[in-house]
Amino acid sequence: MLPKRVKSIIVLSLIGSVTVMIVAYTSPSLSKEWTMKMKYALSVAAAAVLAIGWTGCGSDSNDSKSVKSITFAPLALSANDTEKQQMRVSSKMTVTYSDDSTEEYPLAYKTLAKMGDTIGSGTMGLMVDKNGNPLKKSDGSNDISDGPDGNSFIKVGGKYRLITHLEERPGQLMNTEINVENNELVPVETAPVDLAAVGGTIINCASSKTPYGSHLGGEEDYSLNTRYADKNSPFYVDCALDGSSTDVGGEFNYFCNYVDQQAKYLLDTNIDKNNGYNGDSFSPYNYGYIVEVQPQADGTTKSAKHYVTGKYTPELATMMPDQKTVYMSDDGTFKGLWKFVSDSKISGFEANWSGTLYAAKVNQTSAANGGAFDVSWIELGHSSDNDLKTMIESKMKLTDIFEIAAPGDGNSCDTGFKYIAEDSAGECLKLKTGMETAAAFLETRKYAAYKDATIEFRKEEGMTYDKDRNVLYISMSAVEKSMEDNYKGMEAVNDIHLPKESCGAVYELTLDENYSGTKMEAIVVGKTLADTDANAAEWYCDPEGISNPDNITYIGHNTVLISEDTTKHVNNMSWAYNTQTKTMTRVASLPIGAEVTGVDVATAGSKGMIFLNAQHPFKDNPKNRAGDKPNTALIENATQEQLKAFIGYIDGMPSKLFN
Amino acid sequence: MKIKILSTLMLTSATALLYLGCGNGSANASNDAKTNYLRSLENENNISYAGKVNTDGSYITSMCYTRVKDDDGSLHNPCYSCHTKGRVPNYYNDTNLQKEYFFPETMLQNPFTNLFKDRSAAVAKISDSDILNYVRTSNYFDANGSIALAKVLPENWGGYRPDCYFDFDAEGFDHAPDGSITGWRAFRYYPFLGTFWPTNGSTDDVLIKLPEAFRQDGNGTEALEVYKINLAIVEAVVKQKSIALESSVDERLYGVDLNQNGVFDNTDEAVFNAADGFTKMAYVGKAKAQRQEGKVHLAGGLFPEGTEFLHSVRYIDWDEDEGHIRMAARMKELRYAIKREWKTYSELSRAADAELFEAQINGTTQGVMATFYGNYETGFENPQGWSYQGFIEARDGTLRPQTREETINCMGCHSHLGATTDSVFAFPRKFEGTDKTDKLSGWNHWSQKGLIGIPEPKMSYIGHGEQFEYSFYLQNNHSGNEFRDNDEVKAKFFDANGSLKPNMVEQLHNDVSVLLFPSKTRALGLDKGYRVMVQEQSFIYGRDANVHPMQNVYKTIEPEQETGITQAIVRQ
Repeated sequence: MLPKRVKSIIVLSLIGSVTVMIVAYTSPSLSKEWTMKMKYALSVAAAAVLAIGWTGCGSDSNDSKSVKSITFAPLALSANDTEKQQMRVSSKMTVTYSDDSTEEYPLAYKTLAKMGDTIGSGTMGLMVDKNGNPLKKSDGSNDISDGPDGNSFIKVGGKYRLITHLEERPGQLMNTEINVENNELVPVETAPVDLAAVGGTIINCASSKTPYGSHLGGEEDYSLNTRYADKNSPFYVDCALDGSSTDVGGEFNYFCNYVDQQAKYLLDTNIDKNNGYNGDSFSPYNYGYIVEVQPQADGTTKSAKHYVTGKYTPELATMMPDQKTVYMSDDGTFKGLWKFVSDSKISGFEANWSGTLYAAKVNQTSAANGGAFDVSWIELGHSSDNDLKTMIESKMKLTDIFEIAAPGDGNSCDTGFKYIAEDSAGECLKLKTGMETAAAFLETRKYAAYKDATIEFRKEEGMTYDKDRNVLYISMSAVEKSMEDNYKGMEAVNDIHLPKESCGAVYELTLDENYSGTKMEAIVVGKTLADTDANAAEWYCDPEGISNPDNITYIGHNTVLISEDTTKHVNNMSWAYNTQTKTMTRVASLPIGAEVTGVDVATAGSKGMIFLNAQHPFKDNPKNRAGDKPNTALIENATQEQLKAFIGYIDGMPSKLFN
Repeated sequence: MKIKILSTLMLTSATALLYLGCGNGSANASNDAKTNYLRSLENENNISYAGKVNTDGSYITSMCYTRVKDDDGSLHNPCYSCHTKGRVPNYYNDTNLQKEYFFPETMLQNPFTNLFKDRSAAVAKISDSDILNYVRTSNYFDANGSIALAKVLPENWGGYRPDCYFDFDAEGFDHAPDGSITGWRAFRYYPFLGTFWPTNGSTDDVLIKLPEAFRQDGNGTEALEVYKINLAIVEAVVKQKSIALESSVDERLYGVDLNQNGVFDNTDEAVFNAADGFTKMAYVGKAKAQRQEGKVHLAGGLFPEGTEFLHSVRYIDWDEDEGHIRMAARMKELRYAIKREWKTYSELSRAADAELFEAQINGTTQGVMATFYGNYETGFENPQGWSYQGFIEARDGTLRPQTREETINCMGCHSHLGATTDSVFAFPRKFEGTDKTDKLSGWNHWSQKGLIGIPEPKMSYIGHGEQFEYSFYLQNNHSGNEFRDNDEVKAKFFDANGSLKPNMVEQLHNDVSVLLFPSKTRALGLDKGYRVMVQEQSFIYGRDANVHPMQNVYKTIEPEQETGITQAIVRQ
């Protein structure tokens, strides 16, 4: 924690210097009015310093009144190069109560940890194998992740724990114990979550919390599509399996990389290419699911991989208040939208979920403003985690479930085969007799497409539930490619045929009383700037709106936080969208080149916080409308310290807002 | 409103503080000297030091726009020489670039318009004697024999200040006028495929310098023997193979088991040993202690931090007595690299992954424009920890610092390729002979011992086994350079049907100069073409010395365009 403390001192001393300079300027030669202004400014500065120190101020006096609304002070666009390099957040939150009284809470961003920090006996981001040993290279070096992602701040046994995703291959989750000292969060111990029992994990992306206090995260597995793993598939890739991430011809291949990396974690040297790349413990069928982790009072974790939510490229899952219905998103091109309904209420951590899996089928009713759709659900199958785990352990391969062939001209397939498009490719499939359940859960996207579900979503990212309106918000990072009209002539169904909007959109899924989605409609749409727009010289998407929405979090009080993962804005931002007034307020602006990840609303005692990480700062180089990179100089001059990803939170809100 | 005033003031003050921190009066004067120096170069050469003039993507080389599939369907693959699978710890694998152009969107339009220029009229105006006089006049040394740049560069120039005298002793060590060793040592190597063959434009040399501690004994006293042993150790480490020492060494004197036989004895070899994270190996002298202190590192395939390279790219001179080309006194460029930072295998792997996965994570089917940290003065950094900086010929024939955009031109080849070792080309290809009479003796400058009579190198490729490296290039490219505009090599090595002439290949196996050396006519033509470009100062539009417009180069590339090559050639 030394780095954070040092940073605080720097901030304070900077304020100190400024104060001294203002005093120096308040000389007799200045007009009285100017002197007054300065005095006022000074008192404001002093108040601000005090407020920053005492974030708990004014927390209890209004407990009897209900909160009518919350607003963030709008954060201005970065005005200069200095601001573009900084982590900037809204200066205050104003809470308006039922009697129209208001209260203000100064806000500040606090860094909790940087990747590579030593925390207790652990190292934040240190990658390990299934035995917990560091994944060392042959030079003896340790591997430190720079990809912090989903966060869940959870209280258990009187202690606070932060579960943090590392978006890596192999994947990993960190379990960090956090104390509250002097009203600040102080990480005291960190360790990787032991996921050896479920065969490890991969590319852990966004996450959410269940109503009963566990962490639900997605394995955003892009490339362990089994069409590459089966020798009888025309898409088969013949990997070298020597740790080099290449095929036997020496060419880099994503699928081979994933296999090599997972094998390294599992210490599996016995992967059989003749049997669908199943090894002693590795199977391509073991990744692409929702992982649940629940921290325990003794510092250990309970964990499960919920196979029954289906295999695809899940960004995350969101559990509905009935604790039966769970929605999952699917990142990439030609992807689906998924719903799982548990057989019974999930009231606490359960390793073996059982229930029914559905895929969305949409009927486009409007193409305007990001589009609108009627939504129905195609039932794929019923199973349980345990049954599916047994199936995976039996070392299945794709052609045990489907026969697969490459499509001919005009998406033609041989008799008995059906043309589908999924995961950026067209395939001819023929379901094998009696393999419906295996298809539904292990080949979820293929099977859903086979049953004419809508597999046309593009970069479907965050999801969050709004309990006040009973709707689910879904961010679609970009409305393009498979969401356009019969993209590249590849689409089998063409349910979605929208005009391209590369800046993305956030959709609202209307839910019925059973939490089942019935309609979907864009509520916020990014805007690609016109070439002639004054902002186009520096921005690609309108800076007054969203660009490539990704993390999305309902924080209550009619407020959705929409966060970006974009190179089309100079700084990635987080926005507060008011679901009543339909207005957007800029809340955070990240250092240039960084993506917003790990947005999580949390409380600790009287503290209310919004967790928010900066992934890969100073690494992405934002582009303008013409595709040029006008801020290159800022990236070129980045310091080593600026390049470190960090985990942190917006501090200063009262916990009562989020309880 | 008032808060706004305050915050504006705070910002202004903070900015003022930052600026104050940078300078006192004298520094400002020096800053002015530097500013004036660069500004006058900008005016004289119509160039711009900061910012972008032509393209953000100057790290992508002009030859990457080559059309590799002819209209008749025949394929030419020069791409594999650079774009291949790296050897660990080079974790890059850009083999895909043999098959697809994969440019960032704004690079689909070829920005290297010099490729399409016809310079024949301007070239025709330059006589052979004029160009020979020109290339024989050094622009590195001034009339007094001093290093011109070292004098001209402003006092507070933060980048490399040339310090090599190109005065080599019999062992390739450079000496200052006072006789002292400068630390630079020349070495001989197999020129890299295509571009670095003199027949395709230039002569060049490469020199290495290890940091001071590698040149000193345990007491910190300069010791040439220590330096020679450390150079052999570094060569073994970088090449990941055992290397013969220049002379027998008594290990007891250095306390290092160079031959890895478990005892301190006499040895003729620095043995490579990767066991236990390279802890079995050690440097000698002060560097040995520094490694123990964690100040310098040792790991296979990597140079120790502080290593420097100097690479002069020169015109082609003609040796009338010998009847073949030789290295010219005049430099086109002086390129400098220093490894500023140690990067572990894990860090190197992560840097390569970031690039390999960039397209997947961004969900794009196009390349993403690379950005490099640094500047034209102290150099641009690559992910391997090196900084690259250079000087190029100004309009008046002197050497000047490269601009930002000209410097970024270095970075594509020296960062993202599978073909390099720790981002370097030449040293991993160094000759290993220790006997001065050996054709392949390693430690000499080309001016002392040239390329004539050097047998052709061999290289192994997946699915092809061991091949003669240059012949294999000719066979797969059906030409002698990337652009396929080297008619001399074409006529010399290929018959009318486009097949390699067996007798020429046989000659090449025994003597690479048969291929690498141009005729006098071609050499002077290349010199003249480049001379015209120097007068234009148009390097950011492509540095190739073509006299006629290139025929086999695309002016525009379609999104997701494939090259036509379906079977990649990958180094073993």
